[in-house]
Order: sequence, then structure tokens, then C-alpha cells
Amino acid sequence: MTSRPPAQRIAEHLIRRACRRLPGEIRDERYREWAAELPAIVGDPDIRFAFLRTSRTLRYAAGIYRTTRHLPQAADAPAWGERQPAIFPRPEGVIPAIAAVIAWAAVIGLARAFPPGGPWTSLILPLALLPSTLAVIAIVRFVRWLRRRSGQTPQP
Amino acid sequence: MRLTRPLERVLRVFLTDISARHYGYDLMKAAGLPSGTLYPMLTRLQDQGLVTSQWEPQSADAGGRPPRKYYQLTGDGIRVARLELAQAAQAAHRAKPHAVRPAPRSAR
Repeated sequence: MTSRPPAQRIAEHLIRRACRRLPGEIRDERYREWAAELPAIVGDPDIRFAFLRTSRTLRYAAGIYRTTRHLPQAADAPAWGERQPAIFPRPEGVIPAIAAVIAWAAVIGLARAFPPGGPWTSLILPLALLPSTLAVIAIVRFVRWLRRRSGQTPQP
Repeated sequence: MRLTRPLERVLRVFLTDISARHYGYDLMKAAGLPSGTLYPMLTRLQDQGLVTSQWEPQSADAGGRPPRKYYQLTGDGIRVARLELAQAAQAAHRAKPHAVRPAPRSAR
């Protein structure tokens, strides 16, 4: 039975997973180094509330998870401070567009499932607004992304 | 070495007391940086020979916690850090517009 708090165990698990990306010769040392910081964070006397210490612990582990992508020793690491160029850059607005399609399908499904004239009829309009809003967000983001890519966005 | 704001903060922490050794979380708190920024930076500084690291010896007063890894500037690191920060301060001073108050006009 272990006495470590759950946040510390989750953080250790994240760090262990992160370290799997690293070459074998440095993996264990990095894990020992990063996991050794966890007791100091979990028991940080400068952070008054336990939930803030938990949050700090998990953010620390999440940061480590990102770190292993940027460490020079990582097998597929880009240069420090540079982002790996995407081969097929994902346009912005894809996620709202997918959400809009799903929301539309849900609204149509609900409209077909319930016969018209019931009390739910008044809910159809507000529900129909959701996919429309998502579609507008998707279009706006996509247009902004296109403008940025073509360099037409005026510099602030 | 390109002096970024996070790097500047870390170097300032190191230079506050050049004989002090810092572990990762200590540096994170003092420099106000997240782990995802700090550790790649420390690795790079170590690769450049500006920072050295050492494992804490296992001691009884550690209260059963695992040993930490401590970082410290090397002699070369101290020299480079001081130089970089001085250059950054000079550049900031040059960039600051000098407020010149116009001479008061004589009343006619």
C-alpha cells in the first residue's frame, strides 16, 4: 500500500509515459530526476490550498510530457524553440465544422424522432442555432487561417 | 546563445547566488517558468557547457524522499551569463526613448 497522493501517482505515470519517448540511455535518469521533484510540489508549503498543489503537480507532469518532444535527445525532436513543420497543415476551423455537422445530425434526428406539435417543438429553434453558430465559427476561423497563410493579414 | 526572456530569468536566478545549487522545481518557482520551458533550456545550457548538474547524495535528513538533481552555472556559464545580461541591459537602455523636455519658451 502506497501513501503517495493520487496526484503524485498520476504525475509519475505521465512522466513515465513521457520518458518512453527518450533514448534508452537517458530514460531512467530523466525519470528519476523529474519524479524526484514531485514530493516538493505536492507538499509545497508556499501553495496554501491542496487543490492548487494538485493542479501544479499535474501541470508540472504535463509540461514534462511536452518537454520530451523538445529535448534535443528525443529521437524525433525538432530543434530547440522550433516547431516541427507539419507536412499537411491542419486548417483551423476543422473541429467546429465537424461539431456543426454532428450537431446538425443530432437536431435532424431529434426532429424526426419526436412528432411535430409537441411541447418540444419550441426547443427545435434554439437547438438549431447551435450548429449554425458552430458553422459560422468554423467559416470565420478557416478564412482567418487562409488569410494568415497567404500573408494578407495586416500586422498589428 | 540567443537570450530569450525565459532564459534571462533563469540566468538571473543562477546569478543571484553563483555558489547556490538549484533543483528543477526551485528554479521553476524562482524564475516563474513551467517545466515544459525550463527543462529543455537546462538541457541546452548543459550541452553548451554553461550549466553542470549533480545528483544530491542520499542523506538521512532527506526524509525518505528520492535524491534530486541540482544545477549550477559553470565558470564559463557565469562569464557568459553576466555578459549576456549586461548586453541585454545595454540594448534595453539604448532602445528606451530618452525623454527630452523642450526648453520653456521665454514669455514675450
